[in-house]
Amino acid sequence: MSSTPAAKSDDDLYREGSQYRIWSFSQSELEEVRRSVNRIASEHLAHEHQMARSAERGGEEEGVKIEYLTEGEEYEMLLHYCVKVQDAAAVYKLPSHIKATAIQYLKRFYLKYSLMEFHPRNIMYTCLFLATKSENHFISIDNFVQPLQRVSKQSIIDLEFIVAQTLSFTLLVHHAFNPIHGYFLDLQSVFADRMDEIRSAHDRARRYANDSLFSDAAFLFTPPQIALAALMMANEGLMDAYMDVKFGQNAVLLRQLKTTTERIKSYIVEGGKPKIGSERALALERKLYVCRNPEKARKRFGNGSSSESLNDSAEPAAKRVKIEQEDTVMT
Amino acid sequence: MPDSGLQSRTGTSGTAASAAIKKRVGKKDRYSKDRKVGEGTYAVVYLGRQLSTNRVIAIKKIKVGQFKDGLDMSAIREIKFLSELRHENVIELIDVFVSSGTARSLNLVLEYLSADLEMVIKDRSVMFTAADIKSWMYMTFAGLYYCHRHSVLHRDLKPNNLLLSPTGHLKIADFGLARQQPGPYDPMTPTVVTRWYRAPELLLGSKIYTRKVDVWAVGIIFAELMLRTPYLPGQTDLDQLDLTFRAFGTPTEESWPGVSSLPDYFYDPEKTSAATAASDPKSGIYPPPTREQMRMQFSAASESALDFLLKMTTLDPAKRIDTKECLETAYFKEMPAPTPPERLPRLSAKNDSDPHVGSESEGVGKNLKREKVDEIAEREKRLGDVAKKLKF
Ligand SMILES: Nc1ncnc2c1ncn2[C@@H]1O[C@H](COP(=O)(O)OP(=O)(O)OP(=O)(O)O)[C@@H](O)[C@H]1O
Ligand SMILES: [Mg+2]
Repeated sequence: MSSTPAAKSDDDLYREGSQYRIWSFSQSELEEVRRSVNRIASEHLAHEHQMARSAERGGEEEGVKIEYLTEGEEYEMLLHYCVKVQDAAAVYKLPSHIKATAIQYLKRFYLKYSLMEFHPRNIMYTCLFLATKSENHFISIDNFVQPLQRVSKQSIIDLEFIVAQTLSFTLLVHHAFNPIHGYFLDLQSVFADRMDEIRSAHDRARRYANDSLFSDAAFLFTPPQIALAALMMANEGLMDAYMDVKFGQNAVLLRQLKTTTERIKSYIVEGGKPKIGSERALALERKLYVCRNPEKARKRFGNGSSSESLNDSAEPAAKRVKIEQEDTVMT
Repeated sequence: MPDSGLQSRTGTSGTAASAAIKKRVGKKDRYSKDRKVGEGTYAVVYLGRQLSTNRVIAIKKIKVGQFKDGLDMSAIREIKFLSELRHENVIELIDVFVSSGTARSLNLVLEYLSADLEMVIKDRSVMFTAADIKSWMYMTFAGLYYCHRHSVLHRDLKPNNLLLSPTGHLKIADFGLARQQPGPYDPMTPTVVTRWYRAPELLLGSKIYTRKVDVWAVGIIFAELMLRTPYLPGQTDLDQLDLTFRAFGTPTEESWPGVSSLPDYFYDPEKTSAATAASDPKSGIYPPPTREQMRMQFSAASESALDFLLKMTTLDPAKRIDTKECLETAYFKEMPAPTPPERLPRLSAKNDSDPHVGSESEGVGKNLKREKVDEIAEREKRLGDVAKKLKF
């Protein structure tokens, strides 16, 4: 037994956490993950559809070529659903950090599965439901589904297991909001005479942090880094002065931080831009419907347009999911 | 300064991406479930083995019937925090799995720990020394300091949640009530922590509280280790408050600024003001204990052990020491040195062979209940009257 606890830096602590260990990537890794998820799902669905057709017709056919979502389209839709999480969070009047956790759950989930395997609508509500619980803001399932249309209690309860499992049960998510608050307090002690300026920088930074939710920033950077970038965007002069006071002695670190925050800014700006419009969303929904249900789709949209609702089930498209739910206990 | 993670290099090793794909929901381990070893409010605990390694493990199966609203909140909290915490003195969460079958259930795979501190305290055939107590205290604070650095409040520390490994290592367990240190606008419920270990700010209904509630609880556990009987075994919340203030004095605006504005503070501010600090047991007002009284009560404690106890049980949470200061306190530096874990006393063979079946949990509590019931009823009534008078 040592007499003093091993001195660990805050960075060491962060690196021990699941957000760093499991959910941090470089830009190219992230792209590779999404590419493979998309490819595996497309191939898998193509195979299933092929099997279904040959079983049905008892022979091969000059199959209608099904268009699967590309990884880019999946990403567009994912962000579209992140916005929907935000809208839903507003219905329950949830605090920012719970909304942010739900959005991050959703984005993490779709690093493991394709939207073509699990339709994002019910996954999105499930992520929100799970986030309320893991952030200690319990809403009963009855109250939760009450304002929702076409979402059954059971589908959320069923998917909750799958979502939690897919997230490897790492439910703790760190956001930029807390470090923004920390910097806010620290700024006040450094520049006691600039209160108003600091307060408005804080408020604007929170909005930038919110914008960052609609980008990949949280996979690529740490919450304090994002917080710093958000504050820089909110008031560059103030933050330059602050960084000089704090890190002026360490030119290398200062330069590193500046480079990092510059990079993060571009993600925040991107995240703050309006997402796809309803027309594009409908087109993507339709494409998604077709590749999930080629047979039904052919009947329904046989030749061209239909304004019928795309009420897709959230059933897993692939059988693999069932295998993964199998009991692991042997008695 | 909130620089945790500021310098962390982002991005993981090159193979992470393909590994993420390959793993999908992670590789599966298999476990055997051999026999039931315990049962809590929301879980049944089984002894089992990890089949790939033959390692002995505990499976904590969350009770079904708790599933109307999906995954159980306590289970979510426990999983959420234990997934983040890795420390010699915090129980290891090895895996989590969902079992299907007739009723789907959530299972936590934990390291198997056959005993807990409560059993050791209650087992009259086990003798322990000041050095042993120091060792348990040190391990508790090492684990708790680590939790607190991760902004995790345990909120339910008590001897039965401090588990002991076969090598004598103490591990903090049962994170079903844990939560993150809340933000400034995020009040928490004050009704956490098993009553006997509940800090005065909670008893007084404070909704905003901190890591210091855990320090208080360990302070009370420290007293229990020295006395070998629960130190403040209150039977009701009001009784708990009374016992607490009897032991440490009734807080005043002078000793604890702001205390009189806490929701459940009903003492007469006139009587608790410095000018009239005279004790008035009829209205629940007690003076702080003198050093001599403390020495008599904890006759085996050294001066620095007493200092330590008083610092952990300082009523005003702002003045109570934090876990870092606890680890640096003189008590841990003076002789005797803490006993190395492997040399700590164990349960007697009788209790160790089947620790969870034979142990008379609540035995001590029940006796106390019987002995004290009249006295308590009396005190309750008195305090209830005071409370009524002042509130309306
Ligand atoms: N890791 C473990 N190894 C061995 N036994 C354990 C382990 N965890 C729990 N137990 C046993 O199972 C019992 C139930 O544990 P659990 O933590 O679910 O509830 P509890 O703490 O006893 O009660 P409550 O839920 O009211 O706090 C414990 O009292 C203990 O005897
Ligand atoms: Mg327990």
